[in-house]
Amino acid sequence: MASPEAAASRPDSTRTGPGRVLIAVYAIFALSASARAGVQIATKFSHAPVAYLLSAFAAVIYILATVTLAVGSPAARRIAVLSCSVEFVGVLAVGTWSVADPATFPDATVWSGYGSGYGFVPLVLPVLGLLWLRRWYRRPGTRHGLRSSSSAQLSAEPKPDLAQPVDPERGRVDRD
Amino acid sequence: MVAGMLMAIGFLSFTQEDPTRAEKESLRTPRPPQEPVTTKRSTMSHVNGVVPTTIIVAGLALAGYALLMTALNRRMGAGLLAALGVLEILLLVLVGIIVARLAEGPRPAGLATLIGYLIAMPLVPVIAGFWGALERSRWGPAVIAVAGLVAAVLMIRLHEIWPAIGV
Repeated sequence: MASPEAAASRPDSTRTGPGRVLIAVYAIFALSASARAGVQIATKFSHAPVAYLLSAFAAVIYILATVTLAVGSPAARRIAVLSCSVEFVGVLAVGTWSVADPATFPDATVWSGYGSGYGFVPLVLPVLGLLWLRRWYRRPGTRHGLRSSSSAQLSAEPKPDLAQPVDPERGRVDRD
Repeated sequence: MVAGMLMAIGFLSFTQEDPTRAEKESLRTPRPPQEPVTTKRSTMSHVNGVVPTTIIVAGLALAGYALLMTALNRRMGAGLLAALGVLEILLLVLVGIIVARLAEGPRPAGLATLIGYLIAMPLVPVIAGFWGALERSRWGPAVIAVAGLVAAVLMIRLHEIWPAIGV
């Protein structure tokens, strides 16, 4: 982290640097959770409806986090923060629920047992996501990121930002 | 050099692959399907475990190698891509084995899930390769490490979906 090369190759979007790894892991969870929820709801929904619906909800959150982290615009980052927060609260709530009331969960969800079926990655992932987003917010040149001027931007299309180049990819200096 | 090691593991698995096929042929051709299933299954699961086990070892070795590159602050290189290629070949071999197994008749309870795995599995190293190669920093190899770990975990999941696939 502290080495000169690491400093030279500072990420310039949430999808580069450590974000690249984060998105990879999120994508895996998005895929596996949605596929699993889809199969469960399609084939044996009555067996454990609560568990399967929570799996489907988790899948939606993972998809949202993957896409918004990959897009990386200010608006997308806000949605990413929201989805990571929901995810973290979800893991804690569903984890506690599944421990306190195992009868509701005859079949496991991604989040039951605090994600124990997935090596507790679901518990760690939102924390890493929020740390990454926070670190990114604090960087100079991203000051518009924290300015929560309008919540309308959450639903609006990412607006072109005047302070940044129109296409960040094009304007990026090649560090090779 | 680690890539070379992985390559060696890969070749090892291929050489052990041949008896699998030979045994499978000898089992299939002379006997009608109603013949003792138990004997057939026990022989097969023993043989079938070789490739998934090799994939677990290769995946973990790849993850270790890739994380070392991340720790050393290296970017993606040819070595990592070659090792990823070996993992891809192993996964394709496994897909072939499972498809051949399905063609023989036995079906797992979660057939839909298994088919999903057969489609998704070979895509893991390919997508990770592209996604990691786009990153020109130490985090490119870290993406490859994720792919290696995922490949290892997938083998355990496969075994859970269909215990006939040994680990």
